[in-house]
Amino acid sequence: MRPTRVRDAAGHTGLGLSVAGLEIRAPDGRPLVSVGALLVPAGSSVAIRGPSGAGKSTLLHALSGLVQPATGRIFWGDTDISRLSDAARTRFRRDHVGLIFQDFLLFEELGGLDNAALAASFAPAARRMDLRQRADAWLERLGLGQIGLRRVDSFSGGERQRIAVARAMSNDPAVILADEPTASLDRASANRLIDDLAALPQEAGRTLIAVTHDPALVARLDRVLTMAEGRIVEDSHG
Amino acid sequence: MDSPLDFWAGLPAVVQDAATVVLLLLPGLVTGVLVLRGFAPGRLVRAMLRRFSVVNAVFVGLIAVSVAIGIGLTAQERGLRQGSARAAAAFDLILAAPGSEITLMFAAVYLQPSDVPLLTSAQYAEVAADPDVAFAAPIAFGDTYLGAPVVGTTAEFVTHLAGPLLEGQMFTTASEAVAGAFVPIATGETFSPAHGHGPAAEEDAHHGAAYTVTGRMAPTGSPWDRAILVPVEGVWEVHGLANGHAPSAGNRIGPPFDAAYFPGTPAILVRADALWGNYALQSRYTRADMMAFFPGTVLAQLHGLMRDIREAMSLMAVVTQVLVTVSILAGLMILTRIFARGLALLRAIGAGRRFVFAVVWSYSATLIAAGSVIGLALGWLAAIGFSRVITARTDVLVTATVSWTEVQLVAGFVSLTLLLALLPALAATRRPLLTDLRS
Ligand SMILES: Nc1ncnc2c1ncn2[C@@H]1O[C@H](COP(=O)(O)OP(=O)(O)OP(=O)(O)O)[C@@H](O)[C@H]1O
Ligand SMILES: [Mg+2]
Repeated sequence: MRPTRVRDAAGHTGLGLSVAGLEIRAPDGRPLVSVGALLVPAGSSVAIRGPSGAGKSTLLHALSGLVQPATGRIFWGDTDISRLSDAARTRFRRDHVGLIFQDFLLFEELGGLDNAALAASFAPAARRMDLRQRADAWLERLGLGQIGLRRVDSFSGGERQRIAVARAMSNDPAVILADEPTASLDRASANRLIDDLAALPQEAGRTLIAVTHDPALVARLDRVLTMAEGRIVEDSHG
Repeated sequence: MDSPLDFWAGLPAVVQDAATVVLLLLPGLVTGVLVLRGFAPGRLVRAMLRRFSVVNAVFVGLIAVSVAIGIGLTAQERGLRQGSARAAAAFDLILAAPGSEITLMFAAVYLQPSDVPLLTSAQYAEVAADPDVAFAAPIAFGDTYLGAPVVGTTAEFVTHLAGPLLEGQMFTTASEAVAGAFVPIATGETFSPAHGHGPAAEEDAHHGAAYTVTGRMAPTGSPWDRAILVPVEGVWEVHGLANGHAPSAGNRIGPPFDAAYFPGTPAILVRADALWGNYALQSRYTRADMMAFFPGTVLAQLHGLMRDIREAMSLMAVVTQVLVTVSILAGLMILTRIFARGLALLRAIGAGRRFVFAVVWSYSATLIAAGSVIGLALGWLAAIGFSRVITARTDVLVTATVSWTEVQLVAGFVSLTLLLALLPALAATRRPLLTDLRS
C-alpha cells in the first residue's frame, strides 16, 4: 500500500513515505542499511535514534535521494525516488524536501536572508520572488526578522540553525528531513528549536523525519524508530 | 552584387575594429549566456569572492599584470615605430659619402654623434645646381651647448623641418641661432658653444665665439627639438674653416655657396621639386662616390626586420597570459575544493549540476574579466610611462596608446580563458556529493 497525497484544509498537499525492501550498500558492497517496510503517513513526525554508526544518516540520505539504494523502493506520495535519475531526484528535493543539518551549513559571507533564500538563486525565475518572501516570513516567524540582513558569521549557533530551518522551509516543502538538528546547540537554543520543529508537521500536512539523540526532541515527535546495525529494531509511538 | 568581403572592406575602419572586438568576445559571451541562462548566481559568486578576497585579489593581480605586460609591449613597440617614422618624416632624401645608411640616418635624423666622411665641395655644387633639386641643405655637427647639439644648416631647411617658428625670428647672420622647441634657453640669450659631445665636450675650445638666440622652432617630435640650429656658416667659422662664401660676399648666409670656399658636409639634406623627383634624384646620386637614400625606407626596412621579432613577442605575450591564466584556473580547482561543501549543500537542497557549474564558471569569469580590464588599464598606463622614458632618452616623441590591436588581443584572451574556465566548473560538478557534504 502506498500513502497517497493528503490535502489539508489550506490546500497544501502532504507526501507520505512508503519504503519497501530497501538495501543500501557501501561502494565496496558491504550492506549499510536494510529496511523491509516502513510507512510514514503524510503530516506525521518521526524520530530516528540509535547508536553511532547504526545507519541513521545513511537512511535519511536515501530518503532524500542523496544516496541511491542497491535495491528497494522509496515512495514519497506516488513518486518512487529510487527510480529517478540523479537530476530528477535533485529536482524532487528542490520542489518537495527541506533539509536541516547538524552543523547548519550556511554561507558565512551571505546575510541571514540570502542564506534562507539560497534556493532563489537556482529556482525558476517565476518562483524566486515567492521563495524570498517565504524565507523572509520564516525568519520573522522564527524571531530573526530584525537580523536577516546581517552577515551570518556574527550569528549564534541557535540563530544559525533557525536560519537553516527558514532555508529548509523556503520552498514550502512537503517533507522535512533533519539530521541531528539540535546536536550543536546549547540547551536553551535546542529547546527553542524543538518548539519550532515540533510545530511544523501540525500545519500543511508536512512530514518530518528527524535523526536525533536529543530526548527532548524525541519526546515531541509522533513516533520513534530505533536503529541498530543498519536495521530498524524498534518502532514505538510517542 | 557585393560579396560579404566587399561589404566588410567597405565599412569604416572603426566599425571593422569594433566588430572584430565583438566577434572575438563572442565565444566568451555566448558561453556566459548559455552557462548562466535561468540562474541568478550573483550573490553566491560575490560571497565566494569575499571568502578568499586576498587570494582572489592576487589572482586578479596576476592576470592583470600579465595582460598589462602584453599590452604595454605591443603598444610600446608600435609607438616606437610610429615615433621614429614621424621623426624621419621631414627628411626626404639624404645624400652622403658611401658608407652605412643606418649610421648616417642616426647621425642626420636622430642627431646621434658619429664620425662620417664628408662630401666635397664639388659634389655639393653638383647637387645644388641640379635643376630637379628644390633645396640642398648642407649640415654641420660637432658642437654642443649644455648638452644640446649645435647643428649648422640653412634657414630653408629649418622652415621645412618645423614650419613657422613658434616665436622670434629666423637667424639672419652667422652668429644667430634658433632653438629647438624644448631647449632650455630663452630667446635673446647669448651662448658660447663647446666642442664635442657629452662629458668630453671642451667648454673653452671656441673661445670668444657666441650665438644669440633669435627664435624658437615648433616641436617636431624628433631629437631636433633639443638641438640649437645655427647657420652652417656659423659652425664653419667657429671651427676656423672657410664659411662657404667668398670674403667679398660680406656677411651673407645661406645658399648658393661658393664651391671654392665650401669646407665639405657629412650629408646633404635634399628635397626634390616634385615627389617623384626624389626617386629620380636617388637613382641619379646612387653611384661610386656618393650614396642617396630615403630615411623612411631605411626605417621601414629596419621595422620589417623587426617584424618577426615583433610577432614572436606578441605570441610570447599571449602564451604568457594564457599560461598565467591556466595556472590560475588550476589554483581555482584547488580553491573550488574548499568550496566543495557549500557546492554540495547547493545540490543537496536541490540545485542541479548545471547551477554548480554556473557558479564556479562565474567565479572564474569574474576574476578573468576583472584581471583583463585592470590589465588593459595598467597596460595603457605602462605604455604611457615607457613612452615618457623613451621620449626623454632619445628625444624621439613616442606616444604609445592602447589601440584596437591591444583591445582585440585582450578580447581574444578573455574569450579563450572563459572557455578554459569551463574546466574547473566541470570538475566542480564531478565531485562526490555525499563525501563533500559530510567532510
Ligand atoms: N560511503 C560509505 N562507504 C563506506 N561506509 C559508509 C559510507 N557511508 C556510511 N558508511 C558507514 O555506514 C555506517 C553508518 O553510517 P551513518 O553515518 O549512517 O551512521 P549514523 O547512524 O548516522 O551515526 P552517527 O550517529 O555517528 O551520525 C557507518 O559505519 C559508516 O562508516
Ligand atoms: Mg549520522
